[in-house]
Amino acid sequence: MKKQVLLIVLFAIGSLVAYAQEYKKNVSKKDGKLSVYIDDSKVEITGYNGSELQIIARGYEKPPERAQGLKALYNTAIDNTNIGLSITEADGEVKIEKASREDIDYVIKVPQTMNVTIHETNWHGDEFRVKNITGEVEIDAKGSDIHIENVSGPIVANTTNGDVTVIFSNLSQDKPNSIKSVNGFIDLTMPAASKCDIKLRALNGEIYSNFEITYSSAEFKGVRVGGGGKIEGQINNGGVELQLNTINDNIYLRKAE
Amino acid sequence: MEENQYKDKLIDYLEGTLSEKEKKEIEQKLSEDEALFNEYDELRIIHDSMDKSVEFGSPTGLSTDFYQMLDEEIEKENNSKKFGKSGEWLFTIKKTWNSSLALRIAASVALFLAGFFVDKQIRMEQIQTEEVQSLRDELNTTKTLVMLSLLKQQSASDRIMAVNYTYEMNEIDQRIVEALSETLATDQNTNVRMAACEALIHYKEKVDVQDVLLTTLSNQDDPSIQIMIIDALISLEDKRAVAQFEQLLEKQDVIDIVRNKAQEGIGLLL
Repeated sequence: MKKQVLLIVLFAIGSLVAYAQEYKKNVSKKDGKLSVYIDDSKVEITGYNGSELQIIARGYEKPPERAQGLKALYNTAIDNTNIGLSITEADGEVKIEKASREDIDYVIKVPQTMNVTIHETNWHGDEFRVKNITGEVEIDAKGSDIHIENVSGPIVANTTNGDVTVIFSNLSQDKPNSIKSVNGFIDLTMPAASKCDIKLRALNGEIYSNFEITYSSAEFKGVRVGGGGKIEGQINNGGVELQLNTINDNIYLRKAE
Repeated sequence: MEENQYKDKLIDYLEGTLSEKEKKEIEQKLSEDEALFNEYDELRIIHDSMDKSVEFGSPTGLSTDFYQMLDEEIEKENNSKKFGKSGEWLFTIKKTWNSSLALRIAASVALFLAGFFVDKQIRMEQIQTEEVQSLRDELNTTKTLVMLSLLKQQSASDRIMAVNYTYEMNEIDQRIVEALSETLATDQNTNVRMAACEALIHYKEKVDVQDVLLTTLSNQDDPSIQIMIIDALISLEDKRAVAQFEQLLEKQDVIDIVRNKAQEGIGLLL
């Protein structure tokens, strides 16, 4: 009985490995731009100290044999990787476009100094995870959750139906950060000493924080009447701009432990 | 008397300051010595013309005439008894003025210096205000140019930074309003559009942004931006917004909270 279970587990692992396809490509500009145009996919982008773009795809299936010699009309992007993606590089920008309508998950490793941009092109919704990136991160989502970790900013992210979680390792003072959702929460963690000017608004929600905030408007200094208005203020005497905006959920702004 | 001594005495003779004895001696000599007489004649002509010039052309003569006129004028005024006191006052000044050369010189020096410093001060101030103004203009132009070029950057964070630049400007010119309006209408990133919308609304009291807000409302699909614009139009009490709010309510993809805001707006503005 035990042997049978082991056999099944081994078979499962084996099939999983066989299931996953790999793609590798050298990146000519390590501090260039990575643009991902994608839909109906869970995407995980991780920065590492290397110069290669490495992608592992799970769930990719080749087009049916009947389609041989025919073109896919919905996707103008041409699959040049055999993992359902079109990858091109020009002017220091690596462009990854989904070239399949399948639900495929991608785990992508890129040089950590690249500026990463993800555009969700349709409303299927899944999850975008980005971590260990020292460059800029820009995510333009529709239905997906966003999870960004071990970054220093700037972060510009928005989603409509997803939640946004951002964990800063430190808050770069160079350029403004802006994060917004409509129906999801925003949960942001940054070091206790982070300096920033904040603009927070949760129209139908609450804003929770354990940071000491110096409010710039008298409205929030005394008695707080009503809610849903914009809270402006400074943390640690002010610094780079941090704007968080959601409508139907809460904002959590917390110190890193 | 020696020859040279006569020559020296000639001027004194012309002035009539010699003693009777010396006078006779000179007259005697002049009748004998033709050369000396010629010299005397030349001196006399010069002396006479100098006397005339003193009479007719000197500042003393002019001022005499002037003060005579002034006296007459003062008298007239005194007669009319309108400015009696000021007339007396002027008269006293005039008398002091006439009697003291030192005062005149001091006054003119003081006037000159005062003029000099006032002029210098005015020029300095002019230059300073001009400089400050031109520096300010330059700074604004620089900021405008930086802002406009940053707005074309690929990075959304750069574009937000560009939009935030406008908060630091003293004056917001038409180019900025247009750039912000275009960003609000066409930028592909929602965060950037929201920042542009906030900046435009920030200046709603200073510049005319109502038309921009009115026309862009129905094209905006982000609820946060829709709500911002609705709030701004309500606070501007622009009745034209009602039609825009109604148009928004007809759209299918507008979320409930935006609908509520639009309905509230219609109620407030009608």
